Amino acid sequence: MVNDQQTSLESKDIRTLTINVGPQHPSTHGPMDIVVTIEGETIIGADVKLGYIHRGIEKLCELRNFFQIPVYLNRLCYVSGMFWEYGFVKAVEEIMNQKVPERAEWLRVIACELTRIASHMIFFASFGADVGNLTLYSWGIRDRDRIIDVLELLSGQRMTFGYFRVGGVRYDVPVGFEDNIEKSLRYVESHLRDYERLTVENPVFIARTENIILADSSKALELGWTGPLLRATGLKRDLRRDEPYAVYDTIDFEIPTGKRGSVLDTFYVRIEEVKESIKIVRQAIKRIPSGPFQHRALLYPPPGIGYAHVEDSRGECGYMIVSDGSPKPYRVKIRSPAYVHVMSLPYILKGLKLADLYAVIGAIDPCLGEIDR
Amino acid sequence: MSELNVEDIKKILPYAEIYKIYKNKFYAKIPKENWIDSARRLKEAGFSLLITVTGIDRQNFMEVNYICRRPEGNGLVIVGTQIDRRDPRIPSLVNVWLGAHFHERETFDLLGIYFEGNLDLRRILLPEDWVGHPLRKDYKW
Repeated sequence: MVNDQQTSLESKDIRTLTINVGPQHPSTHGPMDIVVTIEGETIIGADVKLGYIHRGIEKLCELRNFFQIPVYLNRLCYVSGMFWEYGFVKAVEEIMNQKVPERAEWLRVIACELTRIASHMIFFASFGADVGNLTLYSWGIRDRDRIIDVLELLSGQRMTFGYFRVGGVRYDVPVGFEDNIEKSLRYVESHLRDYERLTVENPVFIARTENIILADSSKALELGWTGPLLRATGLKRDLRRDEPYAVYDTIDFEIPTGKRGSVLDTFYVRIEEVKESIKIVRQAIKRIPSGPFQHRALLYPPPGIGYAHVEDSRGECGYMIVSDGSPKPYRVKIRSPAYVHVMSLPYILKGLKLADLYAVIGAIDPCLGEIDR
Repeated sequence: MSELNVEDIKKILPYAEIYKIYKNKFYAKIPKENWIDSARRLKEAGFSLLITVTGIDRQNFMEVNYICRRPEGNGLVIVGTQIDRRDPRIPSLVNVWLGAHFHERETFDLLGIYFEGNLDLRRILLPEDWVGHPLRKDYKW
């Protein structure tokens, strides 16, 4: 895939070489093109090309009614669809000051945290494949499937859920849901120790990942990073704690952080986050009150502007919605965390080795659906 | 931390019209000349995490927005200003936030707003030879 080799043999630039990584590449997790310039083995420049699966979802939203839109939004990120529905629904609720019953808030927390576990499992799996650890790949997919089974019980769908509604959620839990959830959580939990032994305690894995530094905390903030990548640099920032929504302010959980912002740190943070999510789901099951799971809501909000944030498994998922009082939104702006992280690649890749590029892409955990929108 | 109110934001941006849109979330309408200055002031006041730069086609004018928040929580501001729709130009924020660069590229691509001073303003989501800017209200598809 060499496309722009310097032809002059006399030139001193003979060692610089431009390589297209993508758009069809197993390590880019989707159609994305990274044009890297290397000198020897060292990366001296990079450019990211996106848009291979741009579907124009922001434009589609302007052409649909408010209650039709969440159907499109869970397709934004097919491994963490719940968050993307939640962000939109929350922004609409903020514009119309809609109250949500307490049971629905807890159900939303359960749905989101289960999705976070499933999404991180996909991260473990794909990251394992990126650094040549195929055991991790099959384990990640296996454990994620148990979580997806629970989400299927909850919403009726395995990936494109359609679970959130303005004013609540779509369904209440089925009979026997608590036992099912506990069984699945125990299944996942029993394997987490194996994950740790295979990765953060494995000398081969540590040697491969600990010296690839993504960014320090000031650079991460300057670039607008959020989520696990920001926490890996050592900052304790989590929207569930800093700007609490739903019932997160009453839940007891820790915010894991890394030390240096290395690829190993991002892995460590995510493993710990899975443990915290399991803790949150257990608390939610215990504390969820009975009552209605949905309030009556207006079909569309009054004129206004709203911004809502949700702590996605990748960072801050944000929606800015402008309504002009008609049944369709005037403008929907989707803020995707993975877009920010992927577009930061040219700023962080300089000086790294080409072979480390795949570990960096894996650590960033791009989801091309939400990047291209 | 206590809840912010309109006066707290007014202290940072004295020239802005400020509306509270939700708890700890504000919308600030500023004159076009203060675009860069407002960003510098907000960043110094602790709103150091740029969420996004975007725009809204209001049909008789174009609105440009940026959203920033305090990384430790407690406060988010959506700043908006009006520019001419036929020749939408606004100074770039890349000298304030490095990360503004790719948000501006996206806004240029979808809405056709030129960010002066952004040296790498190319299309990002659409192909390079695409004609028009799809998020404009008069875009024909």
